[in-house]
Order: sequence, then structure tokens, then C-alpha cells
Amino acid sequence: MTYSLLPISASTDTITAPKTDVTGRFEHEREWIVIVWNDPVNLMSYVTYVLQKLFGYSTEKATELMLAVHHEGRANVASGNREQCEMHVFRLHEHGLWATLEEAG
Amino acid sequence: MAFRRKPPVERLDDDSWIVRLQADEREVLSHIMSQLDELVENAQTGSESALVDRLFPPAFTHHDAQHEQLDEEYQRLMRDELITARRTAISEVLGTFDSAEGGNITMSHGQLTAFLQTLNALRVTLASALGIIDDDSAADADDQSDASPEQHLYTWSGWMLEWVVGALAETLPREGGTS
Repeated sequence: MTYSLLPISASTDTITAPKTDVTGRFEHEREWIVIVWNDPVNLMSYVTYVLQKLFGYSTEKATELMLAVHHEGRANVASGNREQCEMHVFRLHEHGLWATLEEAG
Repeated sequence: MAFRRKPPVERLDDDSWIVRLQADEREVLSHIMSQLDELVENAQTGSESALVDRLFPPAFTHHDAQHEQLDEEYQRLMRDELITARRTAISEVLGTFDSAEGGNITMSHGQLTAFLQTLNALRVTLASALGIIDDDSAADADDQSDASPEQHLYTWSGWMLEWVVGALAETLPREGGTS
């Protein structure tokens, strides 16, 4: 569905209605999570430091997440809307970590 | 190899550190980081080597049609920015090597961060070259009995990275402090 604020004859610019999912939530309301995956290369101290730097986690929290990555193969390190999570993933990629985002739940 | 009397990374003040790299270490790093820059540059033109695949991973966990479309959109918007960030960091590090006095390189926080990111990108790329894909192959790479130059560099870069991480971790906000 498209909307136009002006009479159609007066404007070719239209505003497209925001997309919703099957539950009727708007895109910006949907919850996404950021996952860091285990890899054999990145040092444990490095992963801990990056999580502290990017997300402001305490040493204890960042270490807990790093150990979850190491032992369980993955850890959810952040959440938010898609745009926020894409930015988190970008910054994690910038630091060489293997990170992805997916919808929560 | 000369015996090191001083730590390879040492803080001078709030925004400067000494990184100690001997001439031969700078020469090797300059050479290999220039090669890394070339590989990253090639990724911009779509002729990338598989060696740098791990530097540009997919952004979405799932690979169904919807998420592949989202990933294409993400890569279209962000890939060039990631390439630029990597190349800028490499260039910044190589620039600091030019100003080395003896074996001492003075780096700002930004330059040390660029060194951290570039060293790690180098390790990730070397790991691909060495076939390190899991913990077993990583353990094999640590076996120095018959190590190739690339294996030595992989191990050395991990050692140096630990020092850089330690130095930068000291700059993180203090936990539970009042400032």
C-alpha cells in the first residue's frame, strides 16, 4: 500500500507504508540479536577486550560472554532493532570477529 | 634474535605508547601488511582472494531467501566502508613505522588501535593461508618443530597482539570507579 500527502495529480512522490511482519509489528519494532561465533584464531583476551570496548561491558561480563563463545560456540552479545544490530555487526567485523545478526525469539 | 630487555609495548602517558620493533621485524611487517592491503584492495574490485574471506563474513545468521536479500543489501551498504576502514588502519600503521627512532615507535591511542586491528586482520588472513579452521589445526600451527615462516609470523603476531590488548585494556573506563 502506498500513501501520498498530495493529490496524485500534484505529485509523483509517494510514501510507502512501513513493512510489518506477520504479527503486525513494524520493522523498527522487531527485536534482533547479535551473535559472536567461535573461531580458532581470535585470542580470548582480544575477544574480551573488543566486547568491553564496543559494548561497555565489565571485565566479568565480557569474560563470561567470551567463555560462552569459546565453550558453546556462540554468544548473544547485544540486541536491538535491525539497524542497531547491523551497526554492531559492522564494528565487530571491523575488529575481525565472526558476528551475525538474527531475529530474536 | 636479540634478547628483549624491555616490554614490546609500554605506556608513556595518557595518549602515547612506545612500541618496540626491531628493524627486521618492521621490515617483515611492512612487507606482509602491504600484501594484506593489496588483498583487501582487490576485495573492493570483486577479485578477492579466498584468503580474506574471513575478513568479510556474512552479516546474517540464516541463509534463506529473505536473509540473503538482507545480506546483499548490508554488503552493498557496508562492504566498501569496511574495506576503507581496513586500508586506513594499515596505512596508519605503516606510517608509524616510517617515524621509528631506533627500535622505538611512538603511537597515539588511535595508532595503537589501528595496529591492534591490523595485527588481528593479519592473523586471520595467515590462519586462512595456514589452513587453520578449527582448534585441532590451530594446535598444529602452534607446533614449532617444523614451522614455516608464516607459522612463525602467526605465532609472533599473537604474542604481540597480547601485549597490545594489554596496553589498550588499561585505557578502558575503570569499573566501579567514580570517574
